[in-house]
Amino acid sequence: MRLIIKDNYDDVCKYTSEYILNRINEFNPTPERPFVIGLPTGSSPLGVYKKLVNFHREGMLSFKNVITFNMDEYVHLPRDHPESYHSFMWENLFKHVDIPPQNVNILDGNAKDLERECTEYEAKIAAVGGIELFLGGIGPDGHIAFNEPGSSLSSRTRIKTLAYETIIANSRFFGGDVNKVPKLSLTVGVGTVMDAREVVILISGAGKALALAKCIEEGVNHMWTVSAIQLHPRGMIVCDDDATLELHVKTVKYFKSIEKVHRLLTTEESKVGMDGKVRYSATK
Amino acid sequence: MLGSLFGRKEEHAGANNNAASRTQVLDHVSRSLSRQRPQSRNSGLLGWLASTQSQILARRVGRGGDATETHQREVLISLAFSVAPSNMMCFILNSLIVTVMLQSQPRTSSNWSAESPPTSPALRPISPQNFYDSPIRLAPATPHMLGARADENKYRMRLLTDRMFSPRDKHHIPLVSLGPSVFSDSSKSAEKVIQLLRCDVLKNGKIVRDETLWIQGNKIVDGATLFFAGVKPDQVIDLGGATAGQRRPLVVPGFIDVQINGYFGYDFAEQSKLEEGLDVVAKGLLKYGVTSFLPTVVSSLPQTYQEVLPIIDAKRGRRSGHAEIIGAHLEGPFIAPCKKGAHNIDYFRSAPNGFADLIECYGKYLDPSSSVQKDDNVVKIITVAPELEGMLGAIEGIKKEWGDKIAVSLGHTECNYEQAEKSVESGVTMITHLFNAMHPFYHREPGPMGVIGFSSLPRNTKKPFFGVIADGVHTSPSSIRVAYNAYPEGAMLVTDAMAGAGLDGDEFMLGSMHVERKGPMEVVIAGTNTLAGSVATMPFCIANLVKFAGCSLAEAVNAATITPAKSLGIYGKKGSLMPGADADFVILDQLSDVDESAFRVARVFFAGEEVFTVA
Repeated sequence: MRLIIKDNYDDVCKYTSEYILNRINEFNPTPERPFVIGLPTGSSPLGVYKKLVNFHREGMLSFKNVITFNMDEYVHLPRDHPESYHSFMWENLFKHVDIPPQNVNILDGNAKDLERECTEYEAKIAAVGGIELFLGGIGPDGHIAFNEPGSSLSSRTRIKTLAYETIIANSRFFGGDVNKVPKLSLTVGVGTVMDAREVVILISGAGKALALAKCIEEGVNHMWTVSAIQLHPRGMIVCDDDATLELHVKTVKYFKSIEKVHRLLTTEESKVGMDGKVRYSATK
Repeated sequence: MLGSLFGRKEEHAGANNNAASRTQVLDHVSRSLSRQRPQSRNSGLLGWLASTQSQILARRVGRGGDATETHQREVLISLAFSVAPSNMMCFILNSLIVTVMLQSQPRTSSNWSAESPPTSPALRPISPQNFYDSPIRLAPATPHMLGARADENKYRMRLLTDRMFSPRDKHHIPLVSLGPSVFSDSSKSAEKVIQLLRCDVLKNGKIVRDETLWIQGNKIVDGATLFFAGVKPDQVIDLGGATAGQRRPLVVPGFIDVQINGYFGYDFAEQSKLEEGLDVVAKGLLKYGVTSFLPTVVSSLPQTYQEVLPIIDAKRGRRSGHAEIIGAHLEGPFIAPCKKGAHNIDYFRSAPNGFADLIECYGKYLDPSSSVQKDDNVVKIITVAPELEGMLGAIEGIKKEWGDKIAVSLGHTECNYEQAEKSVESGVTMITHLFNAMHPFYHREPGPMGVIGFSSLPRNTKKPFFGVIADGVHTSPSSIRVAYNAYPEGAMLVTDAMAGAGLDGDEFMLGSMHVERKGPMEVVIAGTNTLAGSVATMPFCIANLVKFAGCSLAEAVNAATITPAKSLGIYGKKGSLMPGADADFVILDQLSDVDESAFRVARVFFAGEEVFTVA
């Protein structure tokens, strides 16, 4: 697992968006081989989406061959409700970029058969060859997507009841009325996220500090579901200084030192490239 | 022994997949394993395990229940993975069994639908319907590619299956179609969809930055609904980044002008050239951003109305390349002689018989019993002076018979504040060109202007909308500022343009009056100082309102779009950029970062088509 520690939220978004930009462009997606990305909702990825939209407007990033899968969606909330995750993704990303509508996959919380909707979602992910990069956020209780504490770490896409704490936290979007907040949601499982070939988690703010500490310094635990990233071969967490408040000093220093070496390796003068090959000329 | 095992298994795998054959295989496996060298404890244990499990299964099958796949899978996995790696033969054997068993799972698992599987994309012919379906080649989604052991099973499949057993397409696994079949809305698929990107849009009177606007056919639609239905835009217009360093273009609804007496040399009270005039004016107004207007007929004889109104009625409706004529504005002849303005006093009259006099004058277009225009009257606004004899009764009659379909406007009147208030209670909802041709504002006798200030109207009566001619000539900028800030929601911009507007000449006819130009934007009755209408254009008025009233450009545009639409009761269809509104909109270029009044009309769209582009 890589832990990238940045100074503030803006730097976190800048790093993550540049990482995604480079990943997509190096992958060079084509219609036969699209780039499949998993996307979150919430306040953490807003900065990332803004910067991705800017990259698109400057011509650096095209979404024509990018397929997206969203993490979750409320059940029985109308699709055009301003708080539904369809509206969120439309307002913050899809409206501004050139992604074809059929490349967008979001769970349908108003499907007639919700269980079948979940299974078909899993099948769609498998049908396009699995997710290349899954971007995610984390909750204060260490949950990923809506996989609240106690969710199985091998879970798949399913219907999930929201925890009372989550409902209270979300009531601010529904006029402060907890009765208006949906109580069920469809969410990808921890297993689904960890099946992606790469997982990038955004963690920013002091409110997530305890969750980050529990997820990376303690064991894999279903009470802190993001801790499943410890078993992922290519996991990455991008966090800011405030989120490291509960980590050991040793952990923070260690990961910062690794990134320092990484930066040295990626400069032009470095003799050894990131792939371990020795470079005989100054250019890559 | 291995060969015999293979032979037996292929027989089973290729033939029926029922539970009985599977238990037979299990039996076979257990027997074969127990026949192995007794040194390996595991195999003995394995054999015992297999035999007991197969007995349980056989008993269950015999009892009529079906041995569920999960149970069998558990058995087989326990068989497979309980073998010590050192016993390579057992290991290979069991892994073979596992893969074969797992491959031959029946299709009718609870998670898959019982319907027949859709054909794969490779077999479907390419047609316009599925051309936009996902071009990604679909890999078969087999059940055991999901789950916690997905990677492992894929690895096993690749190692063993491809080389030794049947090719992949023999499995007939149902494919999941990725097309937008669930949401497809084919009813509107023939209409062109345009998407505007990166614009600042005036929505509900406020500027929304960095927004997209979707137009389908001749209406504005909700982009999210179309997008999630899988519709792609036919044309994308990117408005951002066109002029770097300046403000983004502002998309506003098309302007609505409720008072136009003529334009480009044509006068609407003159019946002889009216048809041609309406066409020319409708085409020419588009370049000023005016997409809807009301031709105004000044005070005339009754037969003039009988001639003119049918022609205006025939020109109503949306025609491509022409501004839409919403209806007619009848200014007079029931107005005060002392406030005649540029009207011909000979045609003025009062209404001693109330509503009946109006019917006598305007004819069948106001007569409720003639039912010529019961649902959609060509007459939209009637300007009257309420202090005339019988006028209040006539106003009440209009409201009773026509309700909200005809708006009664107060104008060319010498009524005082109380009379104006009474007329609003009777049903007046508009004021025609405030300050002009009416009782002046005096601090102890505010006249009609007082109604938009403090008014002791009953609670459910709204203050009237008021039109102002903001050309700097008809009203002092200071008066406009006071009136606008007294009641901004009611301020409407009108041009009251006459035949000379849009022309460069110096002498024109207005009805039957001679008028001459006194200044660049000032036209008077020949030989007098009485203003004879204006030659202002709507963008000029909007810019002036920003300067005079101190409001923002958005608020000034609202006075030319939302407020006129509300006064006519057509807000939502016109004067708005919300989904469902007509796609008549204007793109303004803001030319200065500090001066909001510096703008120009860059592009005009009518019914979704671009009808004007600035050079």
